[in-house]
Amino acid sequence: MKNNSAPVSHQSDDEKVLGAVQGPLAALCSVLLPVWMRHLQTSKDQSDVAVQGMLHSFAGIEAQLKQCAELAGRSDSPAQENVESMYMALQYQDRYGQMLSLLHEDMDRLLALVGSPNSVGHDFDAANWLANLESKYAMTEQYRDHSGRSDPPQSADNETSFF
Amino acid sequence: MAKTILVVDDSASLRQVVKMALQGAGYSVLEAGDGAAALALLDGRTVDMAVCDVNMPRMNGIEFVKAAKALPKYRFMPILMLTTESQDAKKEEGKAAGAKAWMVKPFSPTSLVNAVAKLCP
Repeated sequence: MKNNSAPVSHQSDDEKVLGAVQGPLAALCSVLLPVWMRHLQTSKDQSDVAVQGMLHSFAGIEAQLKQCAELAGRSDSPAQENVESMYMALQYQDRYGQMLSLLHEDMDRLLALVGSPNSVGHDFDAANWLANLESKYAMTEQYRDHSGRSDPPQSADNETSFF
Repeated sequence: MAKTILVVDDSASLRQVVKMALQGAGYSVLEAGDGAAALALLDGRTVDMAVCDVNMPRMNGIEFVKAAKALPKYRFMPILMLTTESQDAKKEEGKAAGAKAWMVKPFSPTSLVNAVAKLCP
Protein backbone atom coordinates (compact mmCIF):
# COMPACT_ATOMS: atom_id res chain seq x y z
CA MET A 1 0.00 0.00 0.00
CA LYS A 2 1.35 3.33 -0.97
CA ASN A 3 2.21 5.73 1.90
CA ASN A 4 0.58 9.05 0.95
CA SER A 5 2.22 10.91 3.84
CA ALA A 6 5.77 10.31 2.54
CA PRO A 7 7.51 13.56 1.50
CA VAL A 8 7.56 14.16 -2.20
CA SER A 9 10.82 15.48 -3.57
CA HIS A 10 10.49 18.28 -6.13
CA GLN A 11 14.24 18.53 -6.62
CA SER A 12 15.69 17.93 -10.05
CA ASP A 13 18.76 15.73 -10.41
CA ASP A 14 20.94 18.83 -10.72
CA GLU A 15 19.48 20.26 -7.52
CA LYS A 16 20.08 16.97 -5.73
CA VAL A 17 23.75 17.01 -6.80
CA LEU A 18 24.08 20.63 -5.76
CA GLY A 19 22.49 19.87 -2.41
CA ALA A 20 24.85 16.92 -1.90
CA VAL A 21 27.82 19.25 -2.43
CA GLN A 22 26.45 22.18 -0.47
CA GLY A 23 25.55 20.09 2.56
CA PRO A 24 29.15 19.14 3.43
CA LEU A 25 30.37 22.60 2.37
CA ALA A 26 27.90 24.25 4.73
CA ALA A 27 29.00 21.89 7.49
CA LEU A 28 32.65 22.79 6.84
CA CYS A 29 31.83 26.53 6.84
CA SER A 30 29.90 26.26 10.07
CA VAL A 31 32.99 24.81 11.73
CA LEU A 32 35.61 27.02 10.06
CA LEU A 33 33.94 30.44 10.18
CA PRO A 34 33.72 30.66 13.99
CA VAL A 35 37.44 29.81 14.19
CA TRP A 36 38.31 32.55 11.66
CA MET A 37 36.08 34.99 13.51
CA ARG A 38 37.78 34.26 16.81
CA HIS A 39 41.19 34.85 15.20
CA LEU A 40 40.01 38.19 13.83
CA GLN A 41 38.53 39.25 17.16
CA THR A 42 41.72 38.33 19.04
CA SER A 43 43.88 40.26 16.55
CA LYS A 44 41.66 43.30 16.91
CA ASP A 45 41.53 43.11 20.71
CA GLN A 46 45.29 42.67 21.02
CA SER A 47 46.08 45.60 18.72
CA ASP A 48 43.59 47.77 20.65
CA VAL A 49 45.34 46.99 23.92
CA ALA A 50 48.81 47.50 22.40
CA VAL A 51 47.92 50.89 20.91
CA GLN A 52 46.30 52.12 24.10
CA GLY A 53 49.41 51.09 26.03
CA MET A 54 51.63 52.97 23.57
CA LEU A 55 49.43 56.06 23.81
CA HIS A 56 49.65 56.08 27.60
CA SER A 57 53.43 55.78 27.40
CA PHE A 58 53.76 58.54 24.82
CA ALA A 59 51.51 60.86 26.80
CA GLY A 60 54.28 61.04 29.41
CA ILE A 61 57.05 61.32 26.82
CA GLU A 62 55.24 64.14 25.02
CA ALA A 63 55.03 66.21 28.19
CA GLN A 64 58.77 65.70 28.76
CA LEU A 65 59.54 66.66 25.16
CA LYS A 66 57.54 69.87 25.54
CA GLN A 67 59.49 70.71 28.69
CA CYS A 68 62.81 70.03 26.91
CA ALA A 69 61.73 72.21 23.96
CA GLU A 70 60.71 75.03 26.32
CA LEU A 71 64.05 74.79 28.15
CA ALA A 72 65.82 74.96 24.80
CA GLY A 73 63.72 77.99 23.89
CA ARG A 74 62.03 76.24 20.95
CA SER A 75 58.33 75.78 20.31
CA ASP A 76 58.70 73.39 17.37
CA SER A 77 61.33 70.79 18.13
CA PRO A 78 61.95 67.96 15.61
CA ALA A 79 61.04 65.52 18.36
CA GLN A 80 57.62 67.18 18.65
CA GLU A 81 57.09 66.68 14.92
CA ASN A 82 57.95 63.01 15.36
CA VAL A 83 55.40 62.70 18.13
CA GLU A 84 52.80 64.22 15.82
CA SER A 85 53.68 61.69 13.11
CA MET A 86 53.44 58.90 15.63
CA TYR A 87 49.95 59.99 16.68
CA MET A 88 48.90 59.84 13.04
CA ALA A 89 50.44 56.39 12.55
CA LEU A 90 48.70 55.03 15.63
CA GLN A 91 45.34 56.02 14.18
CA TYR A 92 45.75 53.38 11.47
CA GLN A 93 44.94 50.80 14.13
CA ASP A 94 41.43 52.30 14.22
CA ARG A 95 41.13 51.82 10.46
CA TYR A 96 42.32 48.20 10.70
CA GLY A 97 39.93 47.65 13.55
CA GLN A 98 37.01 48.85 11.45
CA MET A 99 38.05 46.68 8.52
CA LEU A 100 38.36 43.59 10.73
CA SER A 101 35.00 44.28 12.39
CA LEU A 102 33.29 44.44 9.01
CA LEU A 103 34.83 41.11 7.95
CA HIS A 104 33.76 39.62 11.27
CA GLU A 105 30.19 40.81 10.70
CA ASP A 106 30.11 39.41 7.17
CA MET A 107 31.44 36.04 8.34
CA ASP A 108 28.72 36.03 10.97
CA ARG A 109 26.17 36.72 8.25
CA LEU A 110 27.53 33.82 6.17
CA LEU A 111 27.54 31.56 9.20
CA ALA A 112 23.87 32.32 9.83
CA LEU A 113 23.11 31.50 6.20
CA VAL A 114 24.98 28.19 6.04
CA GLY A 115 23.42 27.16 9.33
CA SER A 116 19.94 27.73 7.96
CA PRO A 117 18.04 24.62 6.76
CA ASN A 118 17.02 26.58 3.67
CA SER A 119 20.61 27.01 2.56
CA VAL A 120 20.94 23.57 0.92
CA GLY A 121 20.05 23.73 -2.74
CA HIS A 122 19.45 27.47 -2.49
CA ASP A 123 20.67 29.61 -5.36
CA PHE A 124 22.76 32.27 -3.61
CA ASP A 125 22.93 35.74 -5.09
CA ALA A 126 26.64 36.56 -4.83
CA ALA A 127 26.24 39.96 -6.50
CA ASN A 128 23.61 40.95 -3.95
CA TRP A 129 25.80 39.71 -1.12
CA LEU A 130 28.79 41.71 -2.37
CA ALA A 131 26.66 44.83 -2.88
CA ASN A 132 25.49 44.56 0.72
CA LEU A 133 29.08 44.25 1.91
CA GLU A 134 30.23 47.17 -0.24
CA SER A 135 27.46 49.40 1.13
CA LYS A 136 29.14 49.20 4.54
CA TYR A 137 32.55 50.45 3.43
CA ALA A 138 33.92 53.75 4.67
CA MET A 139 37.51 53.79 3.43
CA THR A 140 39.10 54.01 0.01
CA GLU A 141 41.21 50.92 0.73
CA GLN A 142 38.05 48.87 1.22
CA TYR A 143 36.64 49.89 -2.17
CA ARG A 144 40.01 49.19 -3.81
CA ASP A 145 40.34 45.76 -2.21
CA HIS A 146 36.73 44.91 -3.00
CA SER A 147 37.24 45.51 -6.69
CA GLY A 148 40.64 43.80 -6.70
CA ARG A 149 42.34 46.81 -8.26
CA SER A 150 46.09 46.89 -7.87
CA ASP A 151 46.57 50.65 -7.57
CA PRO A 152 48.99 51.48 -4.77
CA PRO A 153 47.57 52.18 -1.33
CA GLN A 154 46.89 55.87 -0.82
CA SER A 155 47.53 57.72 2.35
CA ALA A 156 44.26 58.77 3.90
CA ASP A 157 42.81 62.11 2.87
CA ASN A 158 44.19 64.49 5.42
CA GLU A 159 41.85 67.31 4.64
CA THR A 160 39.19 69.29 6.40
CA SER A 161 36.02 70.48 4.70
CA PHE A 162 34.25 73.38 6.35
CA PHE A 163 30.53 73.83 5.65
CA MET B 1 38.22 79.49 31.42
CA ALA B 2 39.04 76.58 29.13
CA LYS B 3 36.49 75.76 26.46
CA THR B 4 34.88 72.34 26.73
CA ILE B 5 34.95 69.96 23.77
CA LEU B 6 32.87 66.77 23.69
CA VAL B 7 34.72 63.95 21.91
CA VAL B 8 32.48 61.15 20.61
CA ASP B 9 34.11 58.01 19.22
CA ASP B 10 33.63 54.28 19.85
CA SER B 11 37.39 53.73 19.66
CA ALA B 12 39.01 54.37 23.04
CA SER B 13 42.44 54.83 21.44
CA LEU B 14 41.08 57.44 18.99
CA ARG B 15 39.39 59.31 21.83
CA GLN B 16 42.70 59.27 23.62
CA VAL B 17 44.57 60.76 20.64
CA VAL B 18 41.95 63.50 20.23
CA LYS B 19 41.92 64.19 23.95
CA MET B 20 45.71 64.50 24.11
CA ALA B 21 45.74 66.86 21.14
CA LEU B 22 42.98 69.09 22.54
CA GLN B 23 44.17 69.09 26.14
CA GLY B 24 47.65 69.96 24.86
CA ALA B 25 46.09 73.03 23.25
CA GLY B 26 44.36 74.05 26.50
CA TYR B 27 40.86 72.67 25.94
CA SER B 28 38.84 70.75 28.50
CA VAL B 29 37.57 67.41 27.12
CA LEU B 30 34.51 65.27 27.79
CA GLU B 31 34.34 61.78 26.24
CA ALA B 32 31.52 59.54 25.02
CA GLY B 33 31.66 56.14 23.27
CA ASP B 34 28.69 56.69 20.94
CA GLY B 35 25.97 59.16 20.03
CA ALA B 36 23.54 57.95 22.68
CA ALA B 37 26.14 58.28 25.43
CA ALA B 38 27.06 61.72 24.10
CA LEU B 39 23.44 62.90 24.23
CA ALA B 40 23.12 61.62 27.78
CA LEU B 41 26.35 63.41 28.69
CA LEU B 42 25.16 66.74 27.28
CA ASP B 43 22.25 66.88 29.75
CA GLY B 44 22.25 70.68 29.94
CA ARG B 45 26.05 70.94 30.45
CA THR B 46 27.93 73.79 28.89
CA VAL B 47 29.71 72.24 25.93
CA ASP B 48 31.31 74.60 23.45
CA MET B 49 31.83 72.16 20.60
CA ALA B 50 31.68 68.46 19.69
CA VAL B 51 34.14 66.35 17.69
CA CYS B 52 32.22 63.31 16.54
CA ASP B 53 32.88 60.04 14.69
CA VAL B 54 30.31 58.83 12.13
CA ASN B 55 30.22 55.03 12.33
CA MET B 56 29.36 54.04 15.87
CA PRO B 57 27.05 51.49 17.53
CA ARG B 58 23.66 52.40 19.06
CA MET B 59 23.54 55.95 17.68
CA ASN B 60 25.82 57.00 14.83
CA GLY B 61 27.38 60.42 14.38
CA ILE B 62 24.84 61.75 11.87
CA GLU B 63 21.97 60.76 14.17
CA PHE B 64 23.77 62.45 17.07
CA VAL B 65 24.15 65.70 15.11
CA LYS B 66 20.43 65.71 14.29
CA ALA B 67 19.46 64.92 17.90
CA ALA B 68 21.81 67.54 19.36
CA LYS B 69 20.63 70.22 16.92
CA ALA B 70 17.04 69.50 18.00
CA LEU B 71 17.91 70.54 21.55
CA PRO B 72 17.59 74.36 21.96
CA LYS B 73 20.71 74.64 24.14
CA TYR B 74 22.91 72.90 21.58
CA ARG B 75 21.30 74.20 18.40
CA PHE B 76 24.30 76.38 17.61
CA MET B 77 27.01 74.15 19.05
CA PRO B 78 29.52 73.57 16.25
CA ILE B 79 30.13 69.90 15.45
CA LEU B 80 33.16 68.63 13.57
CA MET B 81 32.83 65.14 12.10
CA LEU B 82 36.08 63.19 12.48
CA THR B 83 35.77 59.99 10.52
CA THR B 84 37.33 57.42 8.20
CA GLU B 85 34.42 58.11 5.82
CA SER B 86 35.72 59.96 2.80
CA GLN B 87 32.77 59.47 0.43
CA ASP B 88 31.19 62.69 -0.75
CA ALA B 89 27.68 61.34 -0.19
CA LYS B 90 28.37 60.78 3.49
CA LYS B 91 29.97 64.19 3.75
CA GLU B 92 26.83 65.76 2.26
CA GLU B 93 24.73 63.81 4.74
CA GLY B 94 26.76 65.29 7.59
CA LYS B 95 26.45 68.78 6.18
CA ALA B 96 22.68 68.39 5.77
CA ALA B 97 22.39 67.18 9.36
CA GLY B 98 24.07 70.35 10.58
CA ALA B 99 27.74 69.48 11.01
CA LYS B 100 30.12 72.40 10.50
CA ALA B 101 33.20 70.53 9.27
CA TRP B 102 34.38 67.13 8.08
CA MET B 103 37.86 65.80 8.78
CA VAL B 104 39.13 62.43 7.60
CA LYS B 105 41.16 60.14 9.86
CA PRO B 106 44.02 59.74 10.34
CA PHE B 107 44.28 63.41 11.27
CA SER B 108 47.27 65.44 12.31
CA PRO B 109 46.81 66.80 15.84
CA THR B 110 47.82 70.26 14.59
CA SER B 111 45.11 70.20 11.88
CA LEU B 112 42.52 69.16 14.44
CA VAL B 113 43.49 71.89 16.89
CA ASN B 114 43.43 74.47 14.07
CA ALA B 115 39.98 73.33 12.94
CA VAL B 116 38.62 73.42 16.49
CA ALA B 117 40.07 76.90 17.01
CA LYS B 118 38.40 78.05 13.79
CA LEU B 119 34.97 76.65 14.70
CA CYS B 120 35.15 77.57 18.36
CA PRO B 121 37.08 80.87 18.51
